[in-house]
Amino acid sequence: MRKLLILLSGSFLYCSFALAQETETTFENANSAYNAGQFEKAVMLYKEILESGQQSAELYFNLANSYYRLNQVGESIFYFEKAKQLQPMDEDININSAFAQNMAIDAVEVLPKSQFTLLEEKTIELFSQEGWAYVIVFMAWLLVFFWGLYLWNKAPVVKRTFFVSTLVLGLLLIGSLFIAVVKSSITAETTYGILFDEKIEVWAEPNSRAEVLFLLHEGTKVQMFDQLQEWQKIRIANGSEGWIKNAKVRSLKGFK
Amino acid sequence: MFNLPKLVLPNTLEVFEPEHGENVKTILSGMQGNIQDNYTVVPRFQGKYPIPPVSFSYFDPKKEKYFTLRSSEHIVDVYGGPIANNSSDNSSNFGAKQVLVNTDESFRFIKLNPNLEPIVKKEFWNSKLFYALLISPILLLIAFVLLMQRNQRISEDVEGSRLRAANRLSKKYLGEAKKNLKNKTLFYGALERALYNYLKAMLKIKADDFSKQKVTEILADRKLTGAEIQSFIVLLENCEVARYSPATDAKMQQDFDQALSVISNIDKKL
Repeated sequence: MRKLLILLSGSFLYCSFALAQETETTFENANSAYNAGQFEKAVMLYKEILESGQQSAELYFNLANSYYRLNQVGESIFYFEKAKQLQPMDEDININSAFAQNMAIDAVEVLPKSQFTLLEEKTIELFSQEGWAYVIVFMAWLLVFFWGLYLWNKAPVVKRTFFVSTLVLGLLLIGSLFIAVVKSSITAETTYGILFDEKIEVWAEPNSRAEVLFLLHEGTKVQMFDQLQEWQKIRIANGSEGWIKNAKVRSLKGFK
Repeated sequence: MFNLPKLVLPNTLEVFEPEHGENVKTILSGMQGNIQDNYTVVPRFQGKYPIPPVSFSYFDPKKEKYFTLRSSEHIVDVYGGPIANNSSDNSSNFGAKQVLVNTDESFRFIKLNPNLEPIVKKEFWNSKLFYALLISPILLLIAFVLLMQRNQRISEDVEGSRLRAANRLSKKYLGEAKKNLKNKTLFYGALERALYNYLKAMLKIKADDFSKQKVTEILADRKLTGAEIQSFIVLLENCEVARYSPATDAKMQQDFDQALSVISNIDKKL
């Protein structure tokens, strides 16, 4: 029985190892296809890895580059955005993404942000959601440790030191808990998408009697809001809002 | 007459107002000629720019049908020049004799390291483990505070601590006697020994100069009342007598309890 178990677990390990090996080979094949100029084949192979349930900023970046070479604006921008979600500070991704943005018809001027909003964003982006969770747990333990030391010690100077540090840590803990909750609700509520229609009219209201506000083209990043039948409310980076009908908008929360 | 279809171009391209040219003659059978729009487009950044197809519909009166002409899509690939979002220092390039394309600004090659990870990951945030790790230090703190309070209470509670000490003593000295509650001779022997041992330990008297007289003196020195000393002496005498006289189990138990109370009484005073 035990032998069987070992054999089974061994074969399972081997299987997962073989699977990882396989996707890596696929990745390498796709890279050589890209280098040889066979961009369609590269796209197919990269997508195969995605289908197997694995992702990375590098994979999305390569996929986006292949689409850029194939002159598919929407797809290219979509996967550059996906890559940016995972690695927002990567230079390569940002440079190539700018190339893809150039290719899009719409150049949306980004609304300037106030100093306060920038500070708020920077604070929230200090850690990832997981990072904040670890920070909170660490702070909670440190807080209790200091509190314990405060209760334990008798000397007034030491007691005061630990009291102050406990207080500061407590405030920090509450603050980071608040930030983490806000961050998770923001990610839950805001959905961005990339427009895949070659050309689409943006209406003031979700009906055809309203007026057309402006036109959007493939590859524009929009924030997605409410939906009413075939109408979808959107907002673009310059702050304009409107409704689009039967639009091909692919949410950046999905991965295909 | 009619308008030519407009060209839609990427916004990052600089598009000048088209140069309009008309060469139309009006003759007897109608109008004939051509119209053209000449666009001047200047790319500001390197990269690829798609020129979307343009379509034009017209009605052919001979065939009595509508026709739509469509141009194919073109891609303009611009080499060199600055890239978008990085245009602050592009003016300095113009004066140079040879424009060097900064390698930092060209289209980057793909990445070769896969670094793959599963798309569906187990999240720590909002997980049960996260809450457990968040709550457990608070419980730990409460436990710690309770423990400290208990310690405090114990050190302040003198009466209780004395009692506990007496119990500990009785356990130490009277343990043997208690074991022999069924056997009279052994019980009283053990009890007597226990009482002496206790006194020896507490008063630091040597075993050889041990007599009831001496015990009374020493206990009196330690500010014990006469009744307390008396009860101790009586107990000692009891032990001696009872060894050679009939005694019931109830009497033994009573003596044992008395020994316990006497010891703890003296212990409180010393």
